[in-house]
Amino acid sequence: MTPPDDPDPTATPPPPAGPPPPVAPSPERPHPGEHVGPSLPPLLAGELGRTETLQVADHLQTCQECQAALVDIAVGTGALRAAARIEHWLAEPAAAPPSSAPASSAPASSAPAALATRTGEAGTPRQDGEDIAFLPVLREIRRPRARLRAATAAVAAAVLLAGGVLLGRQLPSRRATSGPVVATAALERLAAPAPAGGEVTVVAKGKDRLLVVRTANLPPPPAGDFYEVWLLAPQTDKMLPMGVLPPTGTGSYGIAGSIMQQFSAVDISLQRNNGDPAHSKTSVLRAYY
Amino acid sequence: MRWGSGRDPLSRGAEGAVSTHRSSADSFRARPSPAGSSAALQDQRSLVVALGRGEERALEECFRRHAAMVRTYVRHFVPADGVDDVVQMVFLELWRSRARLDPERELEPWLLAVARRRAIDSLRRRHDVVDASALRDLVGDRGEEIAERVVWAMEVRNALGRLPQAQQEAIGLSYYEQLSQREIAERLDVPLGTVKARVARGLARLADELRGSDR
Repeated sequence: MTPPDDPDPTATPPPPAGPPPPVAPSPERPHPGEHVGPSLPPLLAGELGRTETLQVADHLQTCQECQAALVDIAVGTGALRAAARIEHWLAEPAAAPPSSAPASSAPASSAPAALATRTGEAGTPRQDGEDIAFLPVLREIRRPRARLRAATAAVAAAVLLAGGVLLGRQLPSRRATSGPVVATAALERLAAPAPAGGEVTVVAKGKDRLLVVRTANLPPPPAGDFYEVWLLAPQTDKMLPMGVLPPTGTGSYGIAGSIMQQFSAVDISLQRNNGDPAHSKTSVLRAYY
Repeated sequence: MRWGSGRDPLSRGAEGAVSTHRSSADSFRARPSPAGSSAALQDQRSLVVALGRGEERALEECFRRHAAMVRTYVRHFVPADGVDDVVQMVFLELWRSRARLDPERELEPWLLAVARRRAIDSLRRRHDVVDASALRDLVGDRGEEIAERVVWAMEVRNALGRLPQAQQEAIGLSYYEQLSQREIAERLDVPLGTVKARVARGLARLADELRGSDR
């Protein structure tokens, strides 16, 4: 927040190089006559109060150096805001969620949220990341027939998953997890040893959401420790504990959609069973949905 | 809150400190080559030339640099189960078109133009209900404008990546994460005046970089 404005700085304008004024302004506030370059970005961002805004304006009227600086800073500001705007818009899943999903409402985006119309379970188990996706391209180039084999393997994997069994692990019952899939994301390894991974799926249940966490190859926690599932808002580091991850490595957690949408990542931590309810700061897996 | 793991993409290590907005930061900055990669492929012109000669490692390098951006773009329009296919087709087409690429031109607009066409194909081929707004955002002038803006966003990210680390960090928090300067000062534990100076100097330099990259 901007501090309250001084009562009336124009009443006793201190000379540029004179003694400090009776009421010392905060060190970041421009003195009349001083260049205002550092105040231009917050000016354009709407972060300055009335007094400071008018001081900057006064100075800009006459200072060619600061007028030139304003041009650069306006260009930089405009470019960054345009970039952030399209990035936030693209980050919204337009086509991924099914029709019954609420319109995505990322606060940073001003673009109308595109409504998705796919229905049914669209949770495609896949890894995110170009390194993994890159392999088929090279295979295609080097050995064109490999594509067919890869496709066959993918179908086989899909059939396995649809059957509810993957790598011998029992998934939560179809009934429990049925419903339109709002988001799906791969669990990426943080502190967990390779090849740990898995995926999270968010299923819509009317206004509520069911978070389904399926880990794979996650080693059993050390004796006395356990894994805990959290929602995380990476931009603010806000966290919400969802519950203990069952020893099977798979768990489902219900939550109101209005709360869920305040978060964008699922974090799995390794917790000591010492009564401390806070996050241990040891994240083993994380997914951004 | 700091997190325990050094692998944590949110941790502010020596690299990647600009933003915790992961989808943006990871997708929109062309990735630098790994240390072992040939210096000859460092600049885009050499990369396209090497691609034209049929060097597979040039294709690998293109993929490493640009696949995340292409994926982010495609994922916005195409349902999840079709994204990989489209991304694959884009880079296959890059490979097949390698002899016709102009080394003097940027690769990103070409990649996104192809991605746009393949995404449209993919949506039209689908037998299930297709998102009409996704198609509308891909075709015609609007589709071209969006693709152009994505390329511009990537250029801005890349230009930002050439600034000193402290300026990148302050600007990233300010514009991509939309923190106020006071909040940034608190988060970085530096005086507000320092944040102001970093952002102002960084923006001026960014404007220079962007003008310089305008060819």
